Amino acid sequence: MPASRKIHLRPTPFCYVLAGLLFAMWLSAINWENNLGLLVLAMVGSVAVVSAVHARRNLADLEITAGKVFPVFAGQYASLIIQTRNRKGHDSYDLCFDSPPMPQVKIPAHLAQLPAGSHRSCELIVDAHSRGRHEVPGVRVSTLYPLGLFRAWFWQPLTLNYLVYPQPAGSQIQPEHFAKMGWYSSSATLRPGEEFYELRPYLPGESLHHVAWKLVAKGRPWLVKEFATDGLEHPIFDFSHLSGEDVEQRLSQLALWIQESHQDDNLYGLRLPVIYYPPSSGEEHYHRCLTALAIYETEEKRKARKRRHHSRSSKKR
Amino acid sequence: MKISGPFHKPAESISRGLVYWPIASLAYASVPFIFHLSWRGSLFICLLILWRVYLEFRRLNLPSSWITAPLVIPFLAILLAEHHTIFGEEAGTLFLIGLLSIRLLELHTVRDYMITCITCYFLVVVSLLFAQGIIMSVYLFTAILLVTVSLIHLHMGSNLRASFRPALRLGMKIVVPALPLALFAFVFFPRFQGKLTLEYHSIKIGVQDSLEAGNIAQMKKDNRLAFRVEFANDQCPVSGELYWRCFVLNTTDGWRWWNGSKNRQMTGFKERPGLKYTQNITLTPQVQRWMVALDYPITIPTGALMCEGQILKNNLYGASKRQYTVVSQPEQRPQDLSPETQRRCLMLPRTLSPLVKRLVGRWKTKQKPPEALATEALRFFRDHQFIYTLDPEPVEGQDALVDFLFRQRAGFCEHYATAFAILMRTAGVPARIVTGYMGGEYNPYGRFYAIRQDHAHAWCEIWIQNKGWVRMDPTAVLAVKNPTPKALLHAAQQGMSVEGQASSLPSPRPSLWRQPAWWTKLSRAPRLWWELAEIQWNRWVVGYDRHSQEKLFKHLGMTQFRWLAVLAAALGGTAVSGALAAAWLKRQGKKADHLRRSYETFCSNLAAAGVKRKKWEGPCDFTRRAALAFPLQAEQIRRIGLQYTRLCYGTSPTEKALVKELTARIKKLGIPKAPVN
Amino acid sequence: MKKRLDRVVDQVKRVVIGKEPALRMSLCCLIAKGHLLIEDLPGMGKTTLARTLAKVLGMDVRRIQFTSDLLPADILGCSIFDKQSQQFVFRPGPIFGQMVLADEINRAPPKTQSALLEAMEEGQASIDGTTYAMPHPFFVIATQNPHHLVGTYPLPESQLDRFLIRIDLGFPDRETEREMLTGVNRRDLINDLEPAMSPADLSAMQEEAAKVHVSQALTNYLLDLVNHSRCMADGGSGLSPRAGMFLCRASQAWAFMEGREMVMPEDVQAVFPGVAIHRLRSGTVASGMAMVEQILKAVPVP
Repeated sequence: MPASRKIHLRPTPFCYVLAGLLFAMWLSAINWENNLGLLVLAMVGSVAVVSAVHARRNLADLEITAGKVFPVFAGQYASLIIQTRNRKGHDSYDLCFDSPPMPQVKIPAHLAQLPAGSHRSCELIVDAHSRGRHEVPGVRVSTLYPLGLFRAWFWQPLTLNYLVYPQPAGSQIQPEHFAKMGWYSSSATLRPGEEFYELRPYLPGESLHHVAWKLVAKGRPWLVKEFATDGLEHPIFDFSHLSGEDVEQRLSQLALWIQESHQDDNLYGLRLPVIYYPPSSGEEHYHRCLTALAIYETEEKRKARKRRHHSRSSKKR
Repeated sequence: MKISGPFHKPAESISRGLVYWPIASLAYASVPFIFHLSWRGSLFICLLILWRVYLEFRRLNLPSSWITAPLVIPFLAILLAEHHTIFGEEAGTLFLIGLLSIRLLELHTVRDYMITCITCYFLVVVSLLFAQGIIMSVYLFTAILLVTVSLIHLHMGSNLRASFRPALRLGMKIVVPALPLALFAFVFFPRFQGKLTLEYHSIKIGVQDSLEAGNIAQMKKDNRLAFRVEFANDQCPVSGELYWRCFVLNTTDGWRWWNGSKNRQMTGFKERPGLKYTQNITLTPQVQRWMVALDYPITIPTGALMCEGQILKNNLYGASKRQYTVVSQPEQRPQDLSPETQRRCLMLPRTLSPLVKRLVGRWKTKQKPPEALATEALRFFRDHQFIYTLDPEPVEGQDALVDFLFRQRAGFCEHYATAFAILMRTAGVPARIVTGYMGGEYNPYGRFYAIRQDHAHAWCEIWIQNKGWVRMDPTAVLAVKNPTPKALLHAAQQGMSVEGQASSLPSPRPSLWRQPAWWTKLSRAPRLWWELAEIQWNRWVVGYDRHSQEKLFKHLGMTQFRWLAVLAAALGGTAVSGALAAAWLKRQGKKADHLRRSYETFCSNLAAAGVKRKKWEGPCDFTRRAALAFPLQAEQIRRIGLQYTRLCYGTSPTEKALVKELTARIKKLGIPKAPVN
Repeated sequence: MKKRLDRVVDQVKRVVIGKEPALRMSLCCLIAKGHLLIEDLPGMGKTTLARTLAKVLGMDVRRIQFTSDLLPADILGCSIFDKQSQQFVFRPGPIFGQMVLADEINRAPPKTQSALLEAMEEGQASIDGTTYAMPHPFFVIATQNPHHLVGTYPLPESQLDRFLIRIDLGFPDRETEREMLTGVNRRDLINDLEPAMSPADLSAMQEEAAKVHVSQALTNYLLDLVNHSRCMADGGSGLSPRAGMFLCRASQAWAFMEGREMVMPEDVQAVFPGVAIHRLRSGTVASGMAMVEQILKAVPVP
C-alpha cells in the first residue's frame, strides 16, 4: 500500500521568494559574467532540489491508521485519533494531518517527530456542531520538513467515524412520576424497596404489611405505603411526551436529562418513536441512549421523509 | 472530493530559543560585507543583533514597530554619509542587511524566520560580487550549510539541544549531495551572453584612463590581484623590463592627464626578428574594459582593438575579455607620430612657471639631441636629492610643478612622470605618459607572474627621430632617502636604486623591511603554492565562462554547439544526478539499520530451515527455540543471539566492528540443517 | 544477588507449593518498589503467600482484615487525648508497617479503600492535618475476591492503577493439593521459617534493579505496547502513562531477577500480563488475559 501511494510536492510561497531572488541574482551574474556567482546560485538551487527529495523521503513508508474516537456532545470538540507508524530506518519530522474535505477540522494534528520504527498517535480536533454520525473520508498528511521550501503531502483514505450527541439543553423539569402516566406495569410486580415513595389507596386483598396504620388511627382512609425500588419507579424519558415542535430541542432536552441522571447515578429509560430502552444505569446504557438520540432522524432524513410523504399524499390526491 | 485544500498558514510564533539560528545565519552571512561598511555601521548592526540576543536571553517582550521602525533613520544616515546613495550593489546590500537586522528585533513568527533565512541565501550569492577568492568560496559554502541547518531547525521540532546533531547531520546530507549537482549544473548549464545596462559603481580594479594627483597612490595601497600572465615557452623578460602598458595619456591641463586624441584604430604589426614574448593574460573579473600587454604588443587578440600608442582596448560592443593571448616585441616601438599627436605631445599647461622654462633653458642652450636632454633631466632628479615617497606633502595649486621641482623634491611615479614629461615638452621634445603596471611576482610552481594593484606605475615616452617613442622611467633613477618601509618596497619593486645604488635586476619581491630572512624563506613556498591554487581556481572556476564552456563541449565531441541540445543534456544530467542523489540517500538510510538487517537475514535463514520467528518473539526465546531445533549449530545460534541482544539492548553503543562481526557470523552460519534422524 | 533471591524463592516454596510463577512475580513487584494485588477466590492461599514472603524477607508485617464496617481511622490510626500529658497523642494504625497485608480489600467501603490507596501512592498519610511518612521499605500486598462474589465493593480503575502487579493463584494441581493435605500445617511452617534477607538487602536490590539498562529499541517496544493498548477496539482507554512507567520498572526488576544487565523483550513479555490485566477495562480476568495476549502478539519485537 505505501509503495503505490502518490506523494505530491508543492513549492511553498517561500520557495517562490527564493526563486525570485535567485533569478535576480542569475541576471546580475550573467550581466557581470560572475561565474562563481553562477556556481553558488547553482549550489543554493541544488540545496532546494535536494531538500525536495528529503521532503518526499520524510513521508515515505508511513502507515496511517484510524484510532478510537470518543463521542462528544454537539458544540464540543471531538478528537479523532490517528495512529502513524514510521516503517523507515530513519526518523520523520514535522508531520501535519488535516482533512481539507472536512471544513469542520478545526485544529490540524501535528507530530513534531516520529522516530524510526515507532508509532505515535495524534488527534485531529473537529468542531462537532451538529449531532449525528459523521464521517471523515481520510486525512492529508503533509510536511514542510526539511527546509520549508517544499510541502510534500499525500492523501490517506481512512474511515474515521465519529458520533456527536445532541447538545444537552432545555429547561423542562425532569419527569419523576411517569409511573402515574401508566408506563409501568401493574403494581403486582412491585417489590418491597427501601425508600418511601407515596401513599395510595388500599386495594382489598393486599398485604396488610404496608398499610399506614398511623393514618388509619387518625381516622384517615386506608392507605398503603408504597416504596420505590430499583428498576421500577424510575423515569422513562419519552420523546413524544415532550412539548414543543422542534425535534432538535426535544432531543437536547432528553440528552440533558440523561446526562443529569447519569451523573446522579439514577436509573432511567428512554423511549423514542422508533426505539425503547428500559430503565437501567451505567456507562453502557448511557452511551446507548445518547447514541440513539444522536442518530435519530437527522435533518436530511427528515426532509427526505417529508418529501416522500408529500409526494405520496399528492399522488393520492 | 477536493483533497488539495489550502494548507494552514505559517503565522504562528516560533518557540523560544529558536531565534538564535536566524540571528547566527544573518550575522554569518553578513560578515563579508562588514568590510565594506564603516565601523559605525558595523557597530550599529552588532548592537541590534546583541539587543535581540539579550531580549531572547532574558525572555523579554519584543519591541513594537513604533520603536524599531525609526531605527532605519540612523542607519540610513550612516549609509548616506559613506556611500551617498542606497542603491547600487554595495550600498543596496548594506541597506538590506541593516533592514534585516532591524527586522530581527521583531522576529517571532515562522514567516519572519523563513524570510530571514532565505534572504541569507541571497546575501551569500550577493557577496560574490565583492570577492571571489578560494577562502571566500569556502566561507560561503559554510554559510550555506549554516542557513540550511537553521531552516532544518525550524522544521525539526522544539527540542533544541537534542536536535542539533541530527539537524547538522541532515544539513550535511542536503548540502553535500547538492554540491555535485551544483557542479554539474555549473559545468553544463548553458551560459547566456548577456549585457544588461548595469554597472559597478565601486570596487574597481585597474588603472584609470586619466591621471590625476593621487590616483596611483591610491592603487598602491591596494594589493589585490589585477591580472596574471603566463609566458609561452617560458620566454620572459627580466623583471626590470616588465612594463605593462594600459593607457597612453598625451593631453594635460597641468593638473590632469588624459588621452585627448581620437581613438585611431591600428592594425597589428608584422613580427620582426628579435626578442618575442607570447603572453597569456588573465584579468581578474573585477577588471573592466581595459587590457594590458607587455611593451610593445604587435598582435591584436580577438575582441580587442589596438589604439594609438600601441595599446589594447576592449571592443566596446563585445563581452569584455578576461583571458587572451598577445605577442609583444620589445623592439617594436611605436613609430607613429601624427601631426595632431605631435601637437598634443608638445602642449604645455598654460600656467607654466618661468622657473621651469629657465631650468630647461639652461639645458637647451647647448642644442643637445633629445636623448641628451632626457639624460639632463634624469640627472637633475638624481643629483638634487629627489626622493621617492608614497606620502608626499600635498602639492597644490598652479605651482604644483614648481613646488615639486624646487622645494619638496619628494614624490612617486606619477609626480616624476608628469614632471619629466613637462620638462621634456618645455625642451621641445614630444613626450607622453603611459600608465599601467610595472614588475610582477613570479610563481615558479604555476610559472606565471602575478601583477597586483600596487604594481601600478606611470612612466614617460619621448619621441626621438628615427627611433620612435622611447621609454623613459624617471622614477627608476631615484635614490630612496629616509625610506618608509612601504616606499622602500615599492622602490625596490620598480627597479630603483636604493640609496643611490643602481640596481639593474631587482628580485621579484625583496625581503620586507621588518620581516626576518628566515620568515621570508619559510613563508615563500606556501605563499607561492597558494598563488598557484588561486590561479587554478581562477582559471577553472572563476574563469569558466561561456567560451570555456563552448571549448569544453567541443572537446567532448559536440562539434556543433547547439543551445537546445545542451539544455536538454543539462536537464537530463540534472535528473540523472538527482536520481543518483536520491539513491545514495536511500542507501544511507538503510545503512543506519545494519544491525537490524543482519538479524533479519538470520531470521529468514532460520525460517528457510523451518524455524520461523513469530513477529512478537523476542531474540532470547527465538534463539533458544532455534538452538533446540538445530542441536548441531546450537552453540553458534546461541552465540549469535547473545551478541545480537547485547548490541540491540545492551549498554554499549552499537559499534560498527561488532555489527560487522555479527554479520560475518550470521553469514557463516547460513541456513542450518536439521539433524538427520 | 541472584543467589540470595533464589534462596528466598526456595524458602517460600517450602510453604507455598506449586505457585512459583506467582511467587516470582510478587518478588519482582517488590523489587520494582510497587504494590501487589492478589486476586482469587477465598482459600487459594493468598494470605499464606503474603505472610510467607514477609517472614522470609524479614519484614515486619501488619495485617488488616478489611470488612464492610472498617473505617479509615482503623487503618491510619487516630489521635487520642492523653490525660497525663493533656495532649492529643497519635496512635499509628496498622498501615505503618513495612509490609502491610490488606486482606480482602474489596470488602471495605470505597472511603476506607481510598485511605489505604492514598497512603500507597503518596508514601505518606495525612491524619488530622499532620503528615506521617511511611516506613522505608513499604510494601502493600492486597488481596481481593473476584467481583462477582456477594458483598464486595469493586475497586475503581483509578485505584487499581496504583497496584504495580496483579496476580492470581489458581487452583493447585492434584499432587500439590495432596501434599498440602498430607503435609504439615502451612501456618506452622511459616513460623518455622528463617528470614533469608533483611530489609536493607531489599533496598539495595531495589537500587540495583533501577539501574538495569533500558535500550532505545526496548523503549520503543514498550511504547508500542502501551500505544497499541490505547487504540484497540475494545480496550477501554488503554494503559495510562503511569502504567507504561510501571511496566518499564517491572521489566527492569524482572531482568534483574534473571541476573541480566539489560532489559530484554522477554522480560517485558513476562511482566506484561501482571501489569496490564487489571488496567485494561474488561469484565473478567479471562477476557483481560485474552486482550493482553492479543496486544503482545500484535506488536512486533524490534
